[in-house]
Amino acid sequence: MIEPTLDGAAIQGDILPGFHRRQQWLVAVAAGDEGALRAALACLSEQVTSVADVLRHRAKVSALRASGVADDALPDPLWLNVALGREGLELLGEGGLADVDDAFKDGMVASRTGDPDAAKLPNGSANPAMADNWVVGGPNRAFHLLLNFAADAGVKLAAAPLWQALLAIPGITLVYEELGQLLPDGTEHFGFVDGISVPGVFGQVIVDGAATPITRRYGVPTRDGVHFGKPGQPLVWPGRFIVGAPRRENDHGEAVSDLARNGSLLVFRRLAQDVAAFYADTIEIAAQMAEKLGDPSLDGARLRALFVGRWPSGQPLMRAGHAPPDAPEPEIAMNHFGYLSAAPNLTLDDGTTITGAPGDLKGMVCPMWAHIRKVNPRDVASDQPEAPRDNQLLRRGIPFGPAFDHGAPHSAENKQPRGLLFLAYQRAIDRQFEVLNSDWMNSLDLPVAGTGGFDILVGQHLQAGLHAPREFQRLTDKGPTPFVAPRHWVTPTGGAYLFAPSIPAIKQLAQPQAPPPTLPNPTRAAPGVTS
Amino acid sequence: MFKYAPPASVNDFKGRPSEAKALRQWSSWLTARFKDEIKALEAEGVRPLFFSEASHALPAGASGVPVPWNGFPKALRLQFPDDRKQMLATAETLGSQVLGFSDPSKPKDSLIKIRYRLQDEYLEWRAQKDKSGKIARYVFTAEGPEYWEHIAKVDPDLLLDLYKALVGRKVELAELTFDRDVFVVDDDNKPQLFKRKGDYNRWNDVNLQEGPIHLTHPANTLGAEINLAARATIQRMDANHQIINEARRLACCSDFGDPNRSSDPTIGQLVNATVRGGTSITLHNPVALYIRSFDEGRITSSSGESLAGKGWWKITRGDSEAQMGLRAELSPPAGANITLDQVRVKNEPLTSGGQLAELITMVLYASTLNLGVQESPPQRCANRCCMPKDGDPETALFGQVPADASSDEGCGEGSVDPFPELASPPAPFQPAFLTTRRGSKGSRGGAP
Repeated sequence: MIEPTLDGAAIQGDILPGFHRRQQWLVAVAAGDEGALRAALACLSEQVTSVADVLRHRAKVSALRASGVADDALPDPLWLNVALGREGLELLGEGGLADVDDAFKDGMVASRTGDPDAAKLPNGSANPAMADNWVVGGPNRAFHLLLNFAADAGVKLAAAPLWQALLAIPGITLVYEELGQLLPDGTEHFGFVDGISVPGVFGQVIVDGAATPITRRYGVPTRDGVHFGKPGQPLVWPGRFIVGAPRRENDHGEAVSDLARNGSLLVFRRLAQDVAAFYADTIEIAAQMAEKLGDPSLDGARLRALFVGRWPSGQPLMRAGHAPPDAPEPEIAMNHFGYLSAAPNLTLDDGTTITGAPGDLKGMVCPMWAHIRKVNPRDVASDQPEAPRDNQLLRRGIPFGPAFDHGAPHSAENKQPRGLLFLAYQRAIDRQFEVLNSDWMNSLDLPVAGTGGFDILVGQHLQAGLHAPREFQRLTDKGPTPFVAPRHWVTPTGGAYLFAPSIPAIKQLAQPQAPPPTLPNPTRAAPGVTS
Repeated sequence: MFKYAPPASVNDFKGRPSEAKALRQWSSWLTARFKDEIKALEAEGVRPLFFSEASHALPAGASGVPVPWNGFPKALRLQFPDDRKQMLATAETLGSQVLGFSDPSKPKDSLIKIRYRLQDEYLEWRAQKDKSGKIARYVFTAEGPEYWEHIAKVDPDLLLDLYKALVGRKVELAELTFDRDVFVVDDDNKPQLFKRKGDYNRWNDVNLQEGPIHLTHPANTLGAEINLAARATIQRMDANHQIINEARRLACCSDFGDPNRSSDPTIGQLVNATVRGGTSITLHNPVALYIRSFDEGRITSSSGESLAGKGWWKITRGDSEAQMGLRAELSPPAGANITLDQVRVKNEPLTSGGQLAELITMVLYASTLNLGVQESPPQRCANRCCMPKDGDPETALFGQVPADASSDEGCGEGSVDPFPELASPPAPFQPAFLTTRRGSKGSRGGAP
């Protein structure tokens, strides 16, 4: 099989291979007119980080580490990626580019995401989950351009000169900014290591004359036609993430315009997490379950692991026999399992052995409604026409807000907003994000037979436009027993469907068009932004 | 004594003189289908892991496990990966094929063609218009044609009553029946009478043009559902004697259903994996294909107001509480201040029933028992798939031929086997008692 070569200088680096830095600063701006937006793009375009930039940096860091340089002495460059909303493209006279994806064209609306659409909560206060009330995005906090700055430390400071130059452009208005940063223990706010299961991507990029695979290979044998990077990390064709890239062997990619080529669709969601409620509710539900199921070992910690499908350490329930929850296996082993059939023993190229794991078709070990099983049924055919790996996303999210202090539950800091800045790249939002989010997580029955529950961690269930209790069935030897989670612990409080163009496209969009555009209308307001 | 109920336990015969006989005969027909499939497995030397509730009772109160799939045809998604408009438009068109001939002495000059909907995921639909030509409702059906043939046979008056209720006008029996005898050729190429003049014609124009009343695609039958569940109990191995797990490979290798669908490979994989190790499986009574759910959260008015839970989606036949919908429609509820042309689906204007079919989850219900059957050894592939030479095994439309077909009669020039590892090279060892089936057995591909 001949793998495709991608243009590493053209594709933005958070798409592939992903920034994976300790801090990301998200900034959303609106432009008063076309000229302002073009000027903003021109200001940023030379600073946008490419795939090649990221890979080059990683190679350098690896070499420095190998030579004994301490982590705190490693270079910490500022990286930047940008994405445009549909309104941004329209402002640039490139509204037709939105045809690249139907969902992008429609926008992040409740009928696509399953988000609550009731404006008020039962107590009369504004419903934060309704798009009208969002912190960012939605009809009242719309923006044209999302900037994603990344660094390992001091990202805001590092970005300040560029940011000041941007704000100095007449007509550019700040809509939103938020700092995302990894929590001290590398987990998300509920305490779980995140981002363990992200698909790999076929293909290579040329960096400084040398071909570098996008996803490293470890010698995992092909299985049922599926190639792997790490064990359990399927390789997916880049056309599932990059517009115009090959979607299969012998494919030359879809015919798209130069502006669309090498771009990607970005789903941004600001997901607020209620840590206190999550812990309190899981303890309470676990007590009910323990009594009803006659299983005294079922406590809050175990129930949280069942909701996620992994222990906080990342150790999957499906490999529970291989390592204790608190002392997980090496990360390379953490995805080596299937639900339908047993994963075989493996010996990798470097001699590392990875023990196999039995399957769990019925969901006795890892419940069908566990988050990781809901969004990725792996080797079980779903209700969707694609293989589940082709519905997957390149997730690049990062937590926002301070870590919850379980030792001081009533502290002022614990009252601050916290959650996840969910960022995910894909080629087709309706076949990827919306399948995982709207079709599967928000469903009692899907994606596979006998699911028997919503995604209790993240899925949404509505009644009269408001979050409503969610059911799930715990399957044991005695059969299924129903339970209910009364509250949602994750609430969407912002978001947008965006397009992350290629770097050449950003530069092209930054140029005034010929014939010259009409004079900007100074009175034209950006959507939903008061000047 | 156990009896199979009509689909969704809907008793159309209730209070009619025909009731007892009709229900008895329906149960007998279904029981016979199960027996036929079990016998076919036994005839191949397979110890059947497929059973009938008529022979083995399930524990009291046992409910079936739902096996879901999406209602929109996957084959059309594969055919039009980059052209959604064309995909939706094609889903609304009719296919046609030769059913047989009316004059055995001049078969070529007396061909009888049928038309059918191209919607092949056990869900078919049609937009019904009002007198002004505006779309009044999108109607969906999951009803197998066999049940309607049964009604026609035991109670033609009821058939006419039901048609009248569903299409809104008096229907004559002559509109629903064959107007001449239909012959087909048997395996020896000899003409055999297939349908008599006056027999119910499941592809009748009232069903096609004014319905839908029930499923019309030749593969959308209850017989096919039973055949699929039975055949999928056979474990399959590839050329290297490895058990085949992956859904599309299993569908290519086996002799059930169509690997291009969402339904068949999904159902087949679940059945196959469930029985592995010796668990027996059956289709839960009442046996049928069902509309399980519709994602109402995706429909709004053009102003963005959610229409969920406001009476737009209705199960009009079946048991909605048990998630056993046979017939459903999307139409404005009483008092609605907008019409269907103002409805949006995932924020796109509603212009096609296919947009709604994408939001429909279909289901069949299966149940298992441990009957102490010792699982038979896995068998080699009965079939293999073919695809265009430059196709991608994940996304190409497949043809299917017997596993041992030569390239001339099989994939042919310009086509290749997407999964050569399943059937070739020939395995060096094959137990003598294992026979390789040729082609697809059962009724999925044809009329009963």
